[in-house]
Amino acid sequence: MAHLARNIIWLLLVTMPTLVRGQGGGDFVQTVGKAPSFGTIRNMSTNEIIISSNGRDLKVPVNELKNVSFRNEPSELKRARLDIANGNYNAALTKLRKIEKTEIQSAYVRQDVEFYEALAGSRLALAGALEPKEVAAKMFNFVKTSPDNYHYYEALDVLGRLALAMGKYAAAEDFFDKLEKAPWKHLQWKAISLRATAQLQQGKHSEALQNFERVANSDIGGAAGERQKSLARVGMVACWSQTGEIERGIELAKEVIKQAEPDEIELNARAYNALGSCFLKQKKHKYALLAFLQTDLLYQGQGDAHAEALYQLTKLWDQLDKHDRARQARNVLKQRYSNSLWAKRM
Amino acid sequence: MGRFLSIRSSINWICFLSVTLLTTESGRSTEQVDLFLRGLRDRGYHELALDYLEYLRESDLIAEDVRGTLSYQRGLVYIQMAIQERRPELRGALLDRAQSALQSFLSDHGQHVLAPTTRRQLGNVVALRARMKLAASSKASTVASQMKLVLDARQHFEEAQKFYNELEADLRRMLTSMPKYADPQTHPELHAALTRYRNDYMDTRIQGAKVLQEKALTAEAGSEQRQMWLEEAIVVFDDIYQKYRKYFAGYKALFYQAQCLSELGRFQDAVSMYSELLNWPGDFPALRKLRTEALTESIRIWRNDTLKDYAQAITTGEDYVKRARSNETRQPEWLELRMELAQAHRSQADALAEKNSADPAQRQHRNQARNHAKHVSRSPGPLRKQARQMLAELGEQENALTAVEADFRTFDEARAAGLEILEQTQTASTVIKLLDEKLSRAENDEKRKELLAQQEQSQRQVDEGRVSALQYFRRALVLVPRDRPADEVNTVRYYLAFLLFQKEEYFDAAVLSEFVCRGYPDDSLSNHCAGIALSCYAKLLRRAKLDDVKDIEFEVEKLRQIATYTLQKWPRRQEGQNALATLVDLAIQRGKYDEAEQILNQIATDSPLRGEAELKTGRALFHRYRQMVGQGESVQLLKLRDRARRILEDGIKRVPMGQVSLNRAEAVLALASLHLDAGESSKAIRLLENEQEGSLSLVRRKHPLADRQGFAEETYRAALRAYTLALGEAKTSPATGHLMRKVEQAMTAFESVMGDSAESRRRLVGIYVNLALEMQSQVEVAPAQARVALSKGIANFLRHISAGTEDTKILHWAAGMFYALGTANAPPRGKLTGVALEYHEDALQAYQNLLNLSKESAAPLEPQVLVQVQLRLAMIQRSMGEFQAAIAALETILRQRNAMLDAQVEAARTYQAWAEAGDPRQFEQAIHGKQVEKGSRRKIVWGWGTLASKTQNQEKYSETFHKSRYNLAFCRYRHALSLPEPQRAKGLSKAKRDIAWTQVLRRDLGGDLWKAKYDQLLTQIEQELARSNG
Repeated sequence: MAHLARNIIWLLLVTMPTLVRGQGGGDFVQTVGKAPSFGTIRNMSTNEIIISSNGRDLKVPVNELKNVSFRNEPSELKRARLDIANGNYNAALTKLRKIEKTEIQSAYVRQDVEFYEALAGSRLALAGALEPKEVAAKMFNFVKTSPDNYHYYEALDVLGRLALAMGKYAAAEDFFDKLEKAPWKHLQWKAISLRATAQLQQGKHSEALQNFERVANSDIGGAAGERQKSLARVGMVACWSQTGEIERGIELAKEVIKQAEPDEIELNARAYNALGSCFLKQKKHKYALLAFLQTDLLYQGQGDAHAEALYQLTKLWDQLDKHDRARQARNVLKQRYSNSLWAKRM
Repeated sequence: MGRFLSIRSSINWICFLSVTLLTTESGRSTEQVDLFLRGLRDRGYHELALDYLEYLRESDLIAEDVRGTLSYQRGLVYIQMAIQERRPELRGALLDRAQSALQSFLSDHGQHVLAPTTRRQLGNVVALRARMKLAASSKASTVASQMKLVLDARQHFEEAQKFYNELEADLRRMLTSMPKYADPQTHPELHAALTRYRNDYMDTRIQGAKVLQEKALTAEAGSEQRQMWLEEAIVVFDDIYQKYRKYFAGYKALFYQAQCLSELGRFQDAVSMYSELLNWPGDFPALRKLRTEALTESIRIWRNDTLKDYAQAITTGEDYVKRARSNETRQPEWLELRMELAQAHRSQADALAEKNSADPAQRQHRNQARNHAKHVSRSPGPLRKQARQMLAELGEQENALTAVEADFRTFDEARAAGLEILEQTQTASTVIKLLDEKLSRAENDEKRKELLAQQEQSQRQVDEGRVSALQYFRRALVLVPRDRPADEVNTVRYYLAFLLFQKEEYFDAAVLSEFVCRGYPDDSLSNHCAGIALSCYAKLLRRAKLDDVKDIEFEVEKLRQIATYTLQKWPRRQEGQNALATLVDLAIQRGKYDEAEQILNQIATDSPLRGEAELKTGRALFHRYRQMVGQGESVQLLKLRDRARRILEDGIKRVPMGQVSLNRAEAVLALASLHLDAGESSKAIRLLENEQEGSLSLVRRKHPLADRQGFAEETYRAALRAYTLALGEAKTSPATGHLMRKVEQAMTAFESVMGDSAESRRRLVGIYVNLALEMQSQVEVAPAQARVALSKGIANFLRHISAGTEDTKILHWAAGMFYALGTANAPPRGKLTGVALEYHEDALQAYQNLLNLSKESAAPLEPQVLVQVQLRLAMIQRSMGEFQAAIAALETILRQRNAMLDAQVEAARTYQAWAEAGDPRQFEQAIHGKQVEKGSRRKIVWGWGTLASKTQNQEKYSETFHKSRYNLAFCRYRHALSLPEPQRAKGLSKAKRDIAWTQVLRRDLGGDLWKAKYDQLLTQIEQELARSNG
């Protein structure tokens, strides 16, 4: 149901500018919790978009943006945005690749096409379905050539994550440092959380824990803020699983799971994986198996977490002499996330 | 208010549901738990689902209301497990557990919203039991047991029916009392409950009718009873269908109704209902599945003997199959449809051939049948065998493997072609097996020839297919693109290695498979590759040994390395266990028995390899033991024997009785020998005589396993040892007689097995000699009642030995043994009778033969030995009362060797015995001896007197001296008793004086033994003297 509702909203958002344009409208900017603005985007920067509507300029901060579309943009771009919102990255890529970029007059539209193409590719790469190096180059090129685009911070976020996926931790931390310079608190905390993830992956457990704790105890509010804090708590669990504070990790992971809504795919998937890792440390293989199977059976939508769960399941099944099941998990990992670090570890 | 919710009823129901429904306080909701468990069940992870439920019992991850439903969930898992379990006894146990879990939930949560579903599941448990019984009835061995199972099934169906009927009534009442409508926005709980109860109600009705339909099958086919029940079911299904035709439950009711009609023979009605289902709008997966099943049923009807409408079946089926979605083609119901369609094509082809054998359309139908069967055969599942069988029966297209262009341009092309051709060779192999069966039933030579030709052709296909597959896979490896995932390439490497192994190119196969298992240890085929590498190196080593290659270090070392690696990597898998067995072999070959035993203990006790490895290790220890036996008995030797026995006993117990192998046969023989060495003859006899696997049974049955040179010989030797040993323990005369017969039978069989060559006879005699010696040592310690039997046993051997050899040494020994037996059984005095006489006669004959042989032999007996033989002959003659002949023989010796002390003693003894036998005059000769000639002073026989004086001064002849002095006195005493007075008293005095003189000569009278004898004799003499003196 939630998906259906979201699709309908997106459909309205995508079709509305066309209707407006049909009535002589132009660019369209939708902000969170406010009425959409129609007019002409006069300027944009990494922090705001200025849209001229009814003779006056309206400054919309990037952190409040929900959707932006442009006059005369190709219909494929519109539909690709919808695909990306629904997680259909391959479909989005197909559509975006059909766009003849040389025919695009507007720099903003061209930048949007470039960004979304890089974004769709990046999402696939982060899920292990594409080689991250190639898409990272595209995203990097976008940041380099369009440093004032309103997608700048999102691009930094993605670039940092891609660097993480490639094991380039210094580059990742560099991107997250830049992300932290964003003028909005939630992005700053997000950057800290992501940097903590990079530190965790490098084995810098105490630094990572410190950063996750900062986020978890921060005062960021709202649904997104709460989600970020929950993810940071999962990060703490992962740190504790490495530093030996297993019981504490298990308690916190269970707490996060209990509070999480069933449709919070990423949070659930990461929390169960963290719980599974704690059980692995305790050598409670069956409990670990059950935790990773939660991700495998219920939260496959979070590609990187699913890949991790499949990796751990493969090993656990083998340890429990269930080699057929191990083979099945391995095959899914290799087929679906062939470019992930987890598949490469096999 | 109508269908809308009244305020009062709304409040009531909300209160009720707040207690029973799933309000998530904190933690996983029922939906999430249910979803996860369903996921586990769908994947068949039942044991894990149970673990998860156990984990949740204590977990704070779930809310309390969810915890309350765990026993219900457990019941569902057990039901699912029972459905998938094939073994009836386990299935029954799982249903018991399901029932108990569901009942536990109901007793704790009777008012829960899941209570009706739980009751329905309880009904399902009973229905499943009924289905089990019905299925078992078709396999019953007798009509009576079949009938009983059918009646049991009916009883269960009726019980299930009762369950469903009661539940249906309760649900109807509940729904009637509930509001007809609840707004999902304002009253979501009530809405959910209404929906659930309605679904429960529909499902319960359908299941109730379904068990009625199935119950009908417990009545005789065509009976009124069956017809009545089916019609009852049809009425219920129709009612459900009419009421719920917009719901999926309505579709299902229609489907079952059609099944009932088909069962009643109303095929057209059934087909029209299936058609209605096929044309129903909607495309959700459950409906597609039901449609596919409906079409399968339709084709079955069109294909049956009544309609034989193959064309309709084919047209509708083919059209439908084209619309299959990619994710559906391997689903069980689609595979069943394809199989049914294959049957339809085949039936059509047969029908066309019957009308016109040249009709080209029949070939097309056969090809189509083949295509469908091939599709089915590629998916694992219950239909695969049937599909392969059909492919085998249809034969390959054009009677040849699909010709594939070998000039591949890509890896994928070559790989696919290789896999395709392998699949075809698999089919050809199945054909070969099928033809084997047909050959065994072939009615005449012509048919047999035809089948053999077909089999040859299939074999050619297999051979050619393997060659082609090898070629294609090799080509594929040349074409591997750089970015190709390793597991795809490894699949090719695996098959290539396998084909190379089959082609006996072991080295290449080993290199390739070892590359995969070491380079990609986590690949799913890695362990299989390790298995191939292991087998290859084992074959290479075997080949090297057969070729008598001196340096086999490479093969041994490679085999050891791959076995060690495989063991470390996959210790619990089959390959790991094979590796252990290999390492045991290697350790044995190197003589490292401790190491072998250590590795052996790592093999899982339930592994079939464990028993085989134990047998091998035990046999190796047995051989080592045998080598050490020659070096004399020691604690170490006894320990080794016990160790070998223990391991062999374990192995023999572990390897199933029916599994007779060379390893097992040899092990049984070895263990029997070890039991014999430990003196446990009964255990040995049990092993040897075991009808299935006993060495004696194998030899008697001329089993191929007993063909090994020496096997029969060792078996009979062990058997003879066992029987003769048992003779010593026999407690009753029938038992002795029984064993004696066995000994004789075994000897007869043994001699026939050994043949009549000089070499065989030599070996046989050697064996008998050893056996006789063993028995002799037993006689010494055997209880009195067993001695006679043992002696008979020994004598039996001796007779066979005497008859079987011309070896003078052996004959000498045998004759000596006969003599010893005779002496042991002879009375202290008096005439020989019975066995003693028998053995003496045997001895006499044996010595006589020996002498005759010696005369004729190119290598006659040594003079020293010859004299001994003559001496012994004389002693036997004496024992038999032939004194004159004995004296004559002794004189012959003494003429040549007058100073031969033994002969002189025996001569004096012979005269003494002669006197005792009734001619007292001979005491004189015994005392004084006999002159060479009358008047001569030189004595040919010295007599006891001269013997005593000749030995008097030599300490080494002390024994002979006392023997002579004592017998001198004794002969005088005995002679005196035969005389009248006064000679009698005079003689007695002389006897007394002899003893007195002896005491003068030897103050100690030769020690306690002799002194006692002298004392006793002196007492007797004095008593007689006193009597003479009055």
